[in-house]
Amino acid sequence: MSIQTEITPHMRGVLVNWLIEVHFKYDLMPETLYLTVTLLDQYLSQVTVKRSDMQLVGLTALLLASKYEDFWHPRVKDLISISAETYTRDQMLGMEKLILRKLKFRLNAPTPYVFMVRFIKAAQSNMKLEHMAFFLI
Amino acid sequence: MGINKLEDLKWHEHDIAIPKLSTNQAEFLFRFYRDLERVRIDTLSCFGNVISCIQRFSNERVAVKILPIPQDQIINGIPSSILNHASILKDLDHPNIVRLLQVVATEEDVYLVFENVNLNLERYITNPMLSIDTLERSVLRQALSGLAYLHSHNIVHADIDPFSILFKYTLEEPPVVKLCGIRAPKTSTSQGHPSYKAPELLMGSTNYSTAIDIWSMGCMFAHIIKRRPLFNAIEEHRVLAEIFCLLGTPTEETWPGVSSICKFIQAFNPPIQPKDLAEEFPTLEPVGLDLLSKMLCLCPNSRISAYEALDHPYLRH
Repeated sequence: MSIQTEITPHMRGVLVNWLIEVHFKYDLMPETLYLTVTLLDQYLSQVTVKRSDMQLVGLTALLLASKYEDFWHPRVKDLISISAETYTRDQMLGMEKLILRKLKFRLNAPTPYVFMVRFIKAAQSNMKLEHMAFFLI
Repeated sequence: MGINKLEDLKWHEHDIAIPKLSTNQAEFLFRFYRDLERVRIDTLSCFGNVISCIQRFSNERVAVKILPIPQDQIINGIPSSILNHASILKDLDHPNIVRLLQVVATEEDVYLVFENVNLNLERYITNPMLSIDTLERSVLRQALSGLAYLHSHNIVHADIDPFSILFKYTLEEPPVVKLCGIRAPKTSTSQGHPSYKAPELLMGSTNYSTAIDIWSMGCMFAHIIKRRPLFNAIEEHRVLAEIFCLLGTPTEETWPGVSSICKFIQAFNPPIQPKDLAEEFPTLEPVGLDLLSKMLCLCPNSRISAYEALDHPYLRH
């Protein structure tokens, strides 16, 4: 976060919380959420983002993650309306290309989720431990 | 024959040798590359429309493949199939797999920039100037190690044919084998050349296991030894007939579960006996024959894996 001038770790937290809600609303797979946050963090570690663009970066990360990981992805139109029409379609498609360029088109990043799924299987855990584990990561 | 100006390119649009580029595509390419040249559109499966260019700054030759974004999907940006395809290829890093150097997205197209590779297997074998007598092992070993790398990443190539095995060839050094035409796993439906297709696919099985790639590699091995394809037919059922003539028909003993994939197999009673491979390949030494027979094993579950094949005595030395 050291390269960021306008945004703070707290704002990232707020954004991620909101993205979790959006993710829940569209009923996407858990893998998608973790990939969204990974992509968001990777981008934020490379590019200085303006405060007003933060939500756009988050939504575009969600769009990319669901395209990559999920069976289905929300339409650009719906994502824009969920952000109360703050951004335009061109902005979002432009941001999509910008993120892809910065991440060099490499979207298959390992996320904590896939490791936790494996550990839980290895630990032969019960539902309670499982929910606890996913809550913590 | 290269072209250096946009005007030249427009003139060439009437020439079938050059794939048609839209004005936007041509402008984009000319910004980064010069000396556009068609590589080939005649390949059946993998590369399709590939334009060979020289990079302006590094002077290196690259191969650019253009993936147009379908009109009805432009409103949602880059389609997930292209995204999957590009990011999987971008992660692969092996000397025997064609490198995806760069991906560039514009409003209408996605450009995949690959390292340039000179020849495909078909042209390599038929070129009398290039002797491969001493290189059979090296070619097979390289191709298998590329394949083992793919399989270790849980990727089934599913389209190995004479056009997806390429050679990087310079006069000074021995040729380097490069596999190309790898597609995203979600979209895997084999469209490959039927003569390299595994028997279980020809019989209608839709189970894409890594074993189908080994079968294709076995066909490639035989192709190099014989200097012509092992199976020649174009229609799938005829290829299957050729396979049975050479290797015999499978039975429940040699291939457990075969009758559930293919109903008519029990009609071969008594089953056709396999031919002696040593007679078919008189120039191949016994240890090579052993490897070939393990790669061309009818039952996919008993077929040798890429890693086991690399450890076979024929390739070890």
